[in-house]
Amino acid sequence: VAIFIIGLILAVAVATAYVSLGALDFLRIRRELSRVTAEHPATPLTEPDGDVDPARETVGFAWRALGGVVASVALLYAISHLWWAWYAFPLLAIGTGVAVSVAFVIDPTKSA
Amino acid sequence: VLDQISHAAITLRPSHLSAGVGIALMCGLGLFMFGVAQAVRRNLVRTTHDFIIAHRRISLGFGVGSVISVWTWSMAVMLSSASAFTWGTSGLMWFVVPNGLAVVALVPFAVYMRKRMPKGYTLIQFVRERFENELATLVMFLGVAFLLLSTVFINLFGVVLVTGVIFGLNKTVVLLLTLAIVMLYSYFGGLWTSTITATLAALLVSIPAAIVVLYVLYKAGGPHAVFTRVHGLGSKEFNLWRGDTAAQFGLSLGLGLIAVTICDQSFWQRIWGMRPQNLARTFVWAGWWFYPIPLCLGLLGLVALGSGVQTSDLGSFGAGGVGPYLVSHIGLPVVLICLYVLTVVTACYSAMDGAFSAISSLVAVDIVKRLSPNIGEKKLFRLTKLSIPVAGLIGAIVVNSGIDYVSLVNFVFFVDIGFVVPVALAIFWPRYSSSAFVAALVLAEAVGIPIRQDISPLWGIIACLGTSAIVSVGVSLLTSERFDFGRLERAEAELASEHASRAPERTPVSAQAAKAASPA
Repeated sequence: VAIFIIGLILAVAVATAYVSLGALDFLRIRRELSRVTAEHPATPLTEPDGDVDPARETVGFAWRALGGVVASVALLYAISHLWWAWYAFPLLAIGTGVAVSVAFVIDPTKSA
Repeated sequence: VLDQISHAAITLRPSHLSAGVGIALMCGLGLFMFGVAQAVRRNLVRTTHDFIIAHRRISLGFGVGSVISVWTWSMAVMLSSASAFTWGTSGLMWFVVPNGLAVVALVPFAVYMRKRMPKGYTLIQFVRERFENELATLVMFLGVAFLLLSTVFINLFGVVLVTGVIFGLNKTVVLLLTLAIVMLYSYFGGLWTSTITATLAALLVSIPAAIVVLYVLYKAGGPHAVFTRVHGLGSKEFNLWRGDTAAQFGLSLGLGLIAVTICDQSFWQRIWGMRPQNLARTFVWAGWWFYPIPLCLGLLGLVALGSGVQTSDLGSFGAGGVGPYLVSHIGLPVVLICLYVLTVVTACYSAMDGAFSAISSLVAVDIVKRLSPNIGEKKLFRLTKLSIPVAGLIGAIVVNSGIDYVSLVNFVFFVDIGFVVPVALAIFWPRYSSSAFVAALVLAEAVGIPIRQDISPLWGIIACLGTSAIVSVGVSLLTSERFDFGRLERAEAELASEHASRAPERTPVSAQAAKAASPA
């Protein structure tokens, strides 16, 4: 039960951060849209500038894709041999919430 | 003591939850999502352009959250448990690894497409501009529409399955209720709504999954006990490299999953709706952090194995019902059973919402705007939204026809495999011709489907991929034409200037927004 309770506390904390950061990002987007529309009231809403550089964006892509594959196979290998590794999966599911929360914070285009 | 625990039998008893709880959960979640959709619509959606492409301003956080959620179909939640229950950890590996990889594999497609067509809307629009051939456009439209409608069918089945196993709810009631709920909130918001509700859905899927699985492990006597019991069933359950799993299930599912993302307009809509700078990072993060969800829920299948659940216990729902069966029989508190139901239902709602949003973009860009280029903004907005109830109605008819869930999933994935080579070559190979595109798509399905039916799914896939690759390359090499990808950007620039010339239509809304933004 102790592990469940620790997991529950962690989950509630992550969920709170996730919702709060999501709400802040939503408000930021709304402010940004209002500002852009106010600046150009008679023209269609301008779309954000920025270009994609495929040569740069795909550098290391294969390694990153392979990293996910190797990590998930390694975890499955671990749960096939070590009982305590089973706790890693619920912990990682909570990690998904942490990852999205971090994405709200580190968005490089936030000030754009 | 641990040995005694591991050998102690787990008693599984039905939880006897009333149907009213199931309906309340479905409606409650729908009401919550509807409230969010209304808030989003009031704040962010003003024109059809906002509705279908979200001003191309989806941020990194909403991008990662919504991509995870759109890809977390009912399958990721329930088939992960089912594959672990049927094939042990090898089944989980063949289910999970291609699933996550399919999202990361979109990165080169996404960045190259966004570079070549920065202001695009739909995959069909790309095919039209790329080939300037009505037949190629029609074939692609049929393929994309088939996949989107299938997303609706498969996820409708998901809700039917979980509510049927846990609450014994009537299939038709669940179908009608689910469609009404999802159509209602999809109708009011488009891509912004879909993105923001999907980001909430990613939270509602990942965190409850962790809580429920931790408690299930506790009720089953802890991971050590389950591990020992499953080991006691024989070494094959923990053998990752079982050949029979790969041959009978893994290879066909893996290839099918990778094909689905490449042809799925729900993803393409987000690719064109995101800020370009975030594109690659969004898909890499979403792929990586998607993995834990099916991995975590897959443990339910292993717990079911260790608890002595038999396929016959699952009745007509088959192995797909193992997760809901275990959760409702192992003695969880009602609140945790409800949390599990919310996880599944949220995943299904979110995938359907994403599909409805994508269907509306197809209708706006590829049907209405094509048939009537000078249509007014209000009329276009109404017609775009009308596509959502029409798609829902088709979904209800198909699901109610009694078609089998697993057969449908397998068939949809198989059909999509035929699109992988032609779509990839259309994006990356300037020599690829429209006749090669059409011939490859048609012949791949014509050769692959009969082989799948008469010999085996694996041979069907090999035939399908082989045919599309050989026909694509062979027919293209017969001509010496080379496509100039720069034409796509020039065509977009023309469209943009045309759009700008119709700007006054937007003035009242813009003025209203300007007033709202004013500090005074």
